[in-house]
Amino acid sequence: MIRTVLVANRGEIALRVLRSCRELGLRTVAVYSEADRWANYVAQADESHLLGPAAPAESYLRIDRILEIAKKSKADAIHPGYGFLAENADFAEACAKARVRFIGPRAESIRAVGNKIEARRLAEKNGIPVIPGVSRAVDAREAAEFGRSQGFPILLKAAAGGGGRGQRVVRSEGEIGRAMREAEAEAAAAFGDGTLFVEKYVAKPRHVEIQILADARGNTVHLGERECSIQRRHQKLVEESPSPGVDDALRARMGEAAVRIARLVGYENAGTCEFLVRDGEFWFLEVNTRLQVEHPVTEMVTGLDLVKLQIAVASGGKLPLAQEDVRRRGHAIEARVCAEDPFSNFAPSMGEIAGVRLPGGPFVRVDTDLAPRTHVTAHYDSLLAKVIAWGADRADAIDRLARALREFKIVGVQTTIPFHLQLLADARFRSGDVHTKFVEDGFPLRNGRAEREREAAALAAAIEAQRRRSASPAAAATPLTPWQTSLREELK
Amino acid sequence: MRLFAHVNGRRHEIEAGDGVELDQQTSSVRTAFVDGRRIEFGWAVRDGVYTILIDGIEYVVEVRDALAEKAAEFAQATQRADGEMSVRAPIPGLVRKVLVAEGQAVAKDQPVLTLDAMKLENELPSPRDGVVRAVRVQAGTAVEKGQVLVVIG
Repeated sequence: MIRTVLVANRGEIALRVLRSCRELGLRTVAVYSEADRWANYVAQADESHLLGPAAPAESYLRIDRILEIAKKSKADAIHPGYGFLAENADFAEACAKARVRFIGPRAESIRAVGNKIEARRLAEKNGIPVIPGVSRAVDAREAAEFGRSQGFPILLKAAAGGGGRGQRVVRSEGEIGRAMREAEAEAAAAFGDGTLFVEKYVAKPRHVEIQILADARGNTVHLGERECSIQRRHQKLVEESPSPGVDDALRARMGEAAVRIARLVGYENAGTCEFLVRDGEFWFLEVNTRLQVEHPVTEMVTGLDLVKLQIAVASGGKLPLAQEDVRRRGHAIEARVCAEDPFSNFAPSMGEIAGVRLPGGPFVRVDTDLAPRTHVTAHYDSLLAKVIAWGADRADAIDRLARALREFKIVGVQTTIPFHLQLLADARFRSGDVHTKFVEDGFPLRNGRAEREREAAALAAAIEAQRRRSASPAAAATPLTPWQTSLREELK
Repeated sequence: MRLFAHVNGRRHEIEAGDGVELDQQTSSVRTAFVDGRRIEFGWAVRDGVYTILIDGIEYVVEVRDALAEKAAEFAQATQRADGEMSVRAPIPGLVRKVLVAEGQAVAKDQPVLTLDAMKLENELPSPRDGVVRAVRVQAGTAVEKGQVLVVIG
């Protein structure tokens, strides 16, 4: 039995996990860095504890501090959210040693799929399609040989990689030396491991992932796919389910492959199998051993609360549903609203949040921890909010999301909302013809900055004039109303 | 009241109240009639500089009255137009690549280095045409917000 859950994360995901815990009647513990002392999620837990300074290495990544707080607060389970320690096998192991349940897969499963070469081998051995490539560490000579036999371009990838780090497209043999050096250095810096392998480069694929869920008794199901092709520099911007490029037959094949991989590594809890898809073909990429940022789109089409299911199976319970019980209805789409300026190459936009007006209305969900007077800093990632809309079909969901984003006001930092609004109105996007280079290779983002500049100037001037008038001696000399006069008399 | 509003390097001369009628709210999201159409917008002000949010786009607007406008014009005229300018870190981060060397000629807006912050790589452009006078950092240097990285003269 789990009675008290410590949420080892911050921001919107901490709040999202806390909400499900509260609905389950569990006691909750939040942790926070000095920068998050006044964040909203901290107030939504029964107990909260300071981890340390703002820098993640001194706070949200401190395994020792988190376990110490778990002990002190008598937490019997830890939910890691995503990012930070979510896919850290050492953390999962340390939790087990400290007799606290880690709400996620076992350390051995995380390790078994954490290395991309190992994961590739596993898939290959079990007849799951992978992109033609070399499933071992390669040097420049071997990469060149592969390119000559398979044809260029090829893709160098870091075995320990993720997020596009340590990854290079090589278009000709002459580029290999330099690409190897760069990718190796990048991977070594980011993951402490510069090992590279090589695959054939698949041009313009879709990025489609399958949500899986497994209990400790060998029951494993999949909850269908999420289309995540709308991304920029490997950072997803929009996700949806179902994918406009996946039909029932393909979904069944990919789902079956994802469940098979999960079973092979004795996977427990929630996870995601990532695939590339093109022209009805699919190739396995990797397993993400955590709850994904974009999990709400799956929740919206299946009606399942993934965090509650994670807690149920982490308590040792049986999955309350079989594959045939998984029903999907309608379409869901999510926009990641980030503190980035889409008109300046998505450069981070930092500052104090002056005010927020959240969207609402039918079939709209907003996952955010935004609050006025909080600061957007470089310490954490730039995600401010996720807006998710459900619709009877894709067009309906897209229209709802656009409507909700138009209502959403975040004052103080530039956000990606203008990008999202243009994307959702784009004819090609609406036709469903998307791929992973859709945004970078030619989405014509129109800089709307000049259009309403005069209006912005007029509004600022009007407010300034209003302020000056109310502060002027003339305003102070305005005669008192009878009510004010009598109040003044009373105060005397 | 005649005011001067500067946005994106352009100056707008405005007779305050002309065509704009504000609501009586004080919150950061308010509404106004602009040329007869009611719109919702966000606003914030800090040190006399306004941020106005319309349709998801933030406009940074500096508002001055006639006297302040004159003073600013004078101050600008006395500043040497060909002075040295620095490329500063807009955010704390880690220098990933230095793209120029001392003595190299650069054009306005040419990227001079890239900075890693918030999981992203950001290109920092040269503020003017000129020659690189100094490079104060190298790849891997952790920098604070506002720190001078490259000097262009």
